[in-house]
Amino acid sequence: MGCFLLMTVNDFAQLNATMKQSVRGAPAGTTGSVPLASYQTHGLNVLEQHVNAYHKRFAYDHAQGGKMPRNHDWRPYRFCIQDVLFGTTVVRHNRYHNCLEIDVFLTAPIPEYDELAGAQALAIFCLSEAYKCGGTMELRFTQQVEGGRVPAAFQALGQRYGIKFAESASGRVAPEEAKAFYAALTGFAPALHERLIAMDQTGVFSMTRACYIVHHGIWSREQIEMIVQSSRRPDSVLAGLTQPHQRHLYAYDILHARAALLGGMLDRQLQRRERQDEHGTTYDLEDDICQIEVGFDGKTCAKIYTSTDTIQVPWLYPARSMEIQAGNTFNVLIRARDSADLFLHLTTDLKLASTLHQIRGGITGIVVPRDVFDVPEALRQQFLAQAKQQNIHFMICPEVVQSFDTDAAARLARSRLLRQ
Amino acid sequence: MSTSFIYLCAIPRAIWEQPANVHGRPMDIARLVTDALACERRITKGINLEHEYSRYTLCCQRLEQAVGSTRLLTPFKTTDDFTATLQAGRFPVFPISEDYLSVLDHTRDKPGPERLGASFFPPDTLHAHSAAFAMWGKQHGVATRKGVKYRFAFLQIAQQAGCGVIELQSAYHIRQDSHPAIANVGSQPIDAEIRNAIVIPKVAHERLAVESFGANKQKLAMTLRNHIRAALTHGEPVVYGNEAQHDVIAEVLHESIFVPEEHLRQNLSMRVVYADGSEALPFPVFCLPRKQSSAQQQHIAPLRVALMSMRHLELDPEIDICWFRNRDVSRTRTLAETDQFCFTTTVEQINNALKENDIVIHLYHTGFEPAVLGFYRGIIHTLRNLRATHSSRQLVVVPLYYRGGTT
Repeated sequence: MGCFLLMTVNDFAQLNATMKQSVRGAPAGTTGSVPLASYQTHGLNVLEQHVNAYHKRFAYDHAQGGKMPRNHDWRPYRFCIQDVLFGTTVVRHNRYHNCLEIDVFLTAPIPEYDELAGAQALAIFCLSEAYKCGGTMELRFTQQVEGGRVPAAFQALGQRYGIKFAESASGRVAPEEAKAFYAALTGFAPALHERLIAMDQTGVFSMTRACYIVHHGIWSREQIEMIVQSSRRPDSVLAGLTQPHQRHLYAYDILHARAALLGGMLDRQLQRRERQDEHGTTYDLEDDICQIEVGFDGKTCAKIYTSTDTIQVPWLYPARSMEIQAGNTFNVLIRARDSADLFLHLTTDLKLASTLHQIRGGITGIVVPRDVFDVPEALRQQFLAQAKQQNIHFMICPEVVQSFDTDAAARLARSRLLRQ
Repeated sequence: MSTSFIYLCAIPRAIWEQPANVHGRPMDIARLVTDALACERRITKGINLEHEYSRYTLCCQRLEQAVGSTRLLTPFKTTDDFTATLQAGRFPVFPISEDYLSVLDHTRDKPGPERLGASFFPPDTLHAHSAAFAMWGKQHGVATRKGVKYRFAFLQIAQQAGCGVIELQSAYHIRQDSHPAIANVGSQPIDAEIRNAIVIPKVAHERLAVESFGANKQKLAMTLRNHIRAALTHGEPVVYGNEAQHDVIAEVLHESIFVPEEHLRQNLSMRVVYADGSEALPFPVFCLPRKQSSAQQQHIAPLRVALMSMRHLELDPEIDICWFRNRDVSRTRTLAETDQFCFTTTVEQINNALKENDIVIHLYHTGFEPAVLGFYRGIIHTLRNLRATHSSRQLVVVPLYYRGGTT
C-alpha cells in the first residue's frame, strides 16, 4: 500500500518537520567516523536543493499539474502511507552510463512497521525506475548519499535476501545484482520463480519485466502465477502481444486474463478482515488482512488456500455463512466461463472438482461468474444438485464476464505499452 | 497447465442471411456478422482502433455465445452423420485441440490469408478461406499437423453442405497430451554455437562524423558502440530511447553497417528493444560492402527531406517534402510497431522513387528513435536488394542534423 508522488515545494514545507524529527530519531549507528544522522542532515539539504530546483524548472503542483520531468532530469519523490512519510529519494537516468543515478536516499523508521519498510519501498521504486528508464538496471549512488557508498539500509535489506553488493563502497549496484535483488524483493513463489527464470533464460519473457508488472500494478504476484502456470502462452498474456483482430489468439489471452482476475478477486475477498465498531458498523483498515497462503494448480486451474486465521467463504450459492478453520485447506476451481461455456462444460467441471476433492481432501468449491444466472433455471438447479451431491461448494462471483473482459482488455493493452 | 479446445460448428446458410423470425432457429447472428465484418474493414484503416477493437471483440463474443447456447450442437463422426445432423435441424460440431493455436502463432507478426485466425466464416467466404488455408499450411510446413488437417477437412465438408463455420474456444480443460512448456516467440535468442562463431569486426573510429559532435555526444556514441558490441557478443538486445539521441544513433549505426576492410560479410543482426519494452525486428549490421560515391551521383539534384512532419516547423523553408506524416507515425501502438511501419513505408517510397531515377536524399533529422531506426532499416534493406540484383540504380542518403539555424 502507500504511493510514490513527486515531492513539491509544498510537500517539502509540510513534511520538513517530520523529516527533521526522523533524523533525530535515526539509529545511532556510524559509518567509519561519520554518524548516520550527519549523512541524513546532509541528505535533507540536498533534497531541499533538488526540490527547489525542480520547482523552479517545472513549476509542478499536485493540484494544478505542470510540466512533467523527463527521465534524465533529477526528480524528487516521496513515499507515504496515508500521512506518514516512509522515505524520499531523488533519481535520474544517467544517459552516459545508461544507469539510474540516485542523489538522495533517505528513509524514516516508523515504529509500527518493519525497521526496513522505508528502505524496501525506496529500493523497489528505484529498481522499477531503472527498468522504466530502459537502462541496464545498474544503480549508482552519488557522493551525496552516505559519502558515495550504497546506503546502509539498502545493504541491510540486500543481506536479508542473501544479496551482497560487490561494489557497495563505490556506491554501485551492478545490473545482475540489481535484477536478482528486484526479483527477491518481488517475492514470487518458488515454483513460479523457477518458471520465470526458465522463461528469462530462453528469452521468452524477462524476469525483470515480470517484477515491473507486479510493482506497476497490472497483475499481482498470484495473478502472474495463475497466468504462467495455466497458460500455454504466458508471454503473450503478460506482454499483451496479441491484438483483438487476431480473434483466436486474443480470445485465448482474454480467457486466461479473465481467470486471473476472477482468482484475484477471490483472493481479496478471502483475505478481507471485517471489523465492527461499537455501533455494529463494519469498516476496513488499510493493511489489515488475513494471512493466507495461496497456491495454484495449473493443470486443473484450481487455487489452494491455507490460512493461519479463520476465513469466511464468500459468494456461496444458495447464500449461507461458512468458515474455514485455521490450518485447513480450501480448494477452489476457478471457472471464468460465460453462460454458453457454462452450459456446455459446467457438468465436466463439477466432475473434476469432485475428483480434486477426493485426491486433495479438505474443502472444495467451484467459483463461476454471475453469468450462470443466464443459464436456464432448470439446468442451474441441476448443476446445484450435482454440486451438493458431490459435496462441492458452489460460489457465484457478483461480477459478469463482460466486466472481467473489459478489465482484462485494458490490462493487456497496458502491458503492451508497459514503460510509457 | 490447463488446455483449450476449439469447437468447429457448421451453421446453415439461412441463419447467416436471415433474422431469427424468418429462419425460425433460436439464434440471430446476421447483424452481428455484418457488424463484425465492417469492424474488420475499418480496423485495416487504423482509425479509432480502440473503439473498433472493443466493438469487434463484443461482436465475436456475442456470435460465439449465440452458437454455444443454442443446445443444438451435435458431435459427428462421418460425413453421413454430418448431413443427417443438419437435416435434423441441428448443428454439427467437431473439437480440435489447441495445436491449432500454436499454428496460428505464425500469424502474430504477419496476418494470415483470407481472415485466418478469425472465429467465423460466412458461407460465401468459406471456399476462398479453405483454399488459402491449405496453401498457407503447406507454405509454413504445418499442413500435416493434426489441428490443421482436421480443420481443413471440416471446412471442406461444411463448404459442400453450403454452411458457414463459427469456431468457439473453451479453456480450463485437463491436458491430455504433452506440449512444449514454453511457447515460441518471434525473437529467439541467438544459439550459443552460432554466437561463438560470430566475429565482431573492430571498427576504426577515425574521421567519423561523431567527431564533429561535442564531447558529451562523443561520450554517448562511445557508450552506444560498447553496448552494441556487448549485445552482439551475448545475443542481448540494445535498448533505444533514453540514452543516445537520434543523431548519435544514426552515426553509430552508420559505422556498424558497412563491412570493414579485410572482413567477410556476415549475416549478423542486432536485437532492438525500445523503451516501452517492445522488441522490433533485428537490425542488420556489418552487411554492406562500402562503395565510393560515383561521379554520376554528384550531378543528381538532392531531394531535401525532413524525416517527420510537424516536429520542426522551422525546417519547412529548407525542405522539399516530409518523409513520414506525423499523424501516421504517432498512433497508439508499441514503438516496435512504429519502427515496422516506418520501415515498410520507407521501402515502399524508396522503391517507387527508384523506378523513376537515381536518388540522393538530404535527410534532415527530426528525432524520434523508432522513425530513425525504421527509416535506416528500410534504406539498408533496399541497398542490399539493389546489390543482390546487381542493379545500377544509385541510392544515397546524407543525414543532416538541424541545430536551430545551422546544420
